[in-house]
Amino acid sequence: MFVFQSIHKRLALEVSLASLGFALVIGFISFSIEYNAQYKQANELQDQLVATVHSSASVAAFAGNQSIAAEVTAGLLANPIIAGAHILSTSGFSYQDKKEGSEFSDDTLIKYPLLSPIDKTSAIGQLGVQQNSTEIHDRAIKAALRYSALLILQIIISAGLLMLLFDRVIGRPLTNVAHMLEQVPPGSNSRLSTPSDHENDEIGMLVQSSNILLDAIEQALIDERKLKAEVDEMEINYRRIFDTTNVGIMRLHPSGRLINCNPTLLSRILVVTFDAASASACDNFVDAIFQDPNQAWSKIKEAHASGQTIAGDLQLRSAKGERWAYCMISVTIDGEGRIELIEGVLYDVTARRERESKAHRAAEIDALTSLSNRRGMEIFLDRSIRHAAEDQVELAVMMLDLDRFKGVNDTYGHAAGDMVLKTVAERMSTRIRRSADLVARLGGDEFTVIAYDTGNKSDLLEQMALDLIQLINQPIEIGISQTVSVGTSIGIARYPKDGNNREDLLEAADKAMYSVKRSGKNDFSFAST
Amino acid sequence: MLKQALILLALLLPVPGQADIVVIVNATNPIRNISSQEVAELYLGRSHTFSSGEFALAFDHPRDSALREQFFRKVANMSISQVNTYWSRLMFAGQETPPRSLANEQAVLDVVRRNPGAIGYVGSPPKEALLRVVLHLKD
Repeated sequence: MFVFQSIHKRLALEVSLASLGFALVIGFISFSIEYNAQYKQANELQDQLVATVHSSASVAAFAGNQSIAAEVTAGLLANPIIAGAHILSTSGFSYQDKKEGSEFSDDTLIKYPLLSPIDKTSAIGQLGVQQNSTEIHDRAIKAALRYSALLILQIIISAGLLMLLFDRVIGRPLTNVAHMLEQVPPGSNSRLSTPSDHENDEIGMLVQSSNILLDAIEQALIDERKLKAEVDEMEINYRRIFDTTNVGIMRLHPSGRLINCNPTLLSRILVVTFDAASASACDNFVDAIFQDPNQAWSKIKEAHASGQTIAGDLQLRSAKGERWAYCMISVTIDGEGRIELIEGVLYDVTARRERESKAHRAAEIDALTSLSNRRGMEIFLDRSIRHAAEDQVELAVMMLDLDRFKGVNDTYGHAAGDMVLKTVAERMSTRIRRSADLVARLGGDEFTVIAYDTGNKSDLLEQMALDLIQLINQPIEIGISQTVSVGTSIGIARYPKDGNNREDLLEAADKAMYSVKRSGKNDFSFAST
Repeated sequence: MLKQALILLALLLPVPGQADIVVIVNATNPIRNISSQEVAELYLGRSHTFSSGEFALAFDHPRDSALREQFFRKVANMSISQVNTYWSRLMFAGQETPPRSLANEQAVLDVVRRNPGAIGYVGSPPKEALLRVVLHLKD
């Protein structure tokens, strides 16, 4: 957690601690220096005192004069640092005096030789001085303490002054600059003003640098906003394209999970209802949207293998009617060559597929009777032969030609002929099994029936041929109260007995039919092998 | 050069008062001679007796006497002012008095002649049996 700690307070603390330590060290050192100095001073004072009375002491010792000796010692004792003094003469004279409570001790007695006043060289005695060591010690301590205390006080006052000055010169201006900076909204054109008296120092530099920074920020923000506006516009444009295009766009995880897609994909391409959330939640979007997911996955694999966009029509899952999309699938790969992302672009081609399939169907259907035409018949026959080969069953091809149709056409007109053809087609269609069999009109009055899985006996086929003849022979109404009747000749070829391909079977059936026509019409005949 | 010439002059000319000084005592005094140290101690009040144990009474010349100046120079190597200072210090303290000053050499001779414990000094050796020269202070 951020806790504000002003430099001033921190400085105060650190300066206090440092000053305290410094003062203690200085106090200790100054104490010992001053203590020694006081001691030295006391000794010097004593030397001076002794020097003052030395000649008198010499006279006293020389003359053995007690009065002078008493004067000398009294003079010395007048000073508090001296506890006692004595004068000894080689002639046997001695005098001593001391303060009350003091004792002479030879260890601490300081001896000054006394010289003869006559020749100044020969010693005639000594002046002994007993220092008042307690007094000197007390004085030294007192003086040293005072000295140390003064020094410490000085240090503390200096530190205090330093802190006050620091606060005034640095702390407050810094705080002011910080407050000013705080109130400048990013990117605004307001700038900091230099505190007075700080134009030429570090605070001034800080303010100037801050202003330069503010300039740069403002400019950067202006540029940024401009750029952002441009990007936004581009984004909107791209988004619009992405959202409103007729193309469905999707990005998929390698597993098939949807990463994202545009609304078009969900609303207009896919018919299985997905909202964005359920689409994203779907584990395998590929499996969910394609009718044949394996086909889609194989295209993805192909795109991965070739490194190119693979395109093709894929059927989409749909509840009613077929839905088709033209899909362009590409993948991006990662550094190790694995699929990183699957991208798919889908166009709705359902309408085109419908048109195409209609056209296909139209090509296979006879417009008049709605039966398969020759082409449709051929496709169906080819497929039936394939199936029969696979299923090991037999099938039959019946070739039919109407008898007396040309006469109807010539007598009653084409409309009547068409009516006959349509009626015949309807009647024939009722007789066959719709799923496996086929009735086709090859053109003119030629029809073909393909019957699947007829068995190896001819009973069934014979019955079927007889039924067809009987159905066709029924009178056909071509106008109000006007009927005609036509016959038919049927040639039957069987697979695999009469041929194992379309051409052979049709030819065989044709031959059989013509043999019927030659022998009397309105009958059927099996192909002769 | 000048200094050497002056010294030479002083040696050649027989200047009065620059002669020897003799220390005299009464002829009855048992001592035959005395050291200049002893003389100095007697005249500076340190000692009051002869080596024989007899009480000694020293007599001096006037304060500004040239002979006195020479005497103290010879026995104590002290100037007159030093001697005066010394004595004034002792006198101030009491108890002690300097040797008594006499008017002239004749007075010194008279006092020593009359007083068996006396000691004095004069500029030339006296030719009388009642006095004895105990120390000859040469230049």
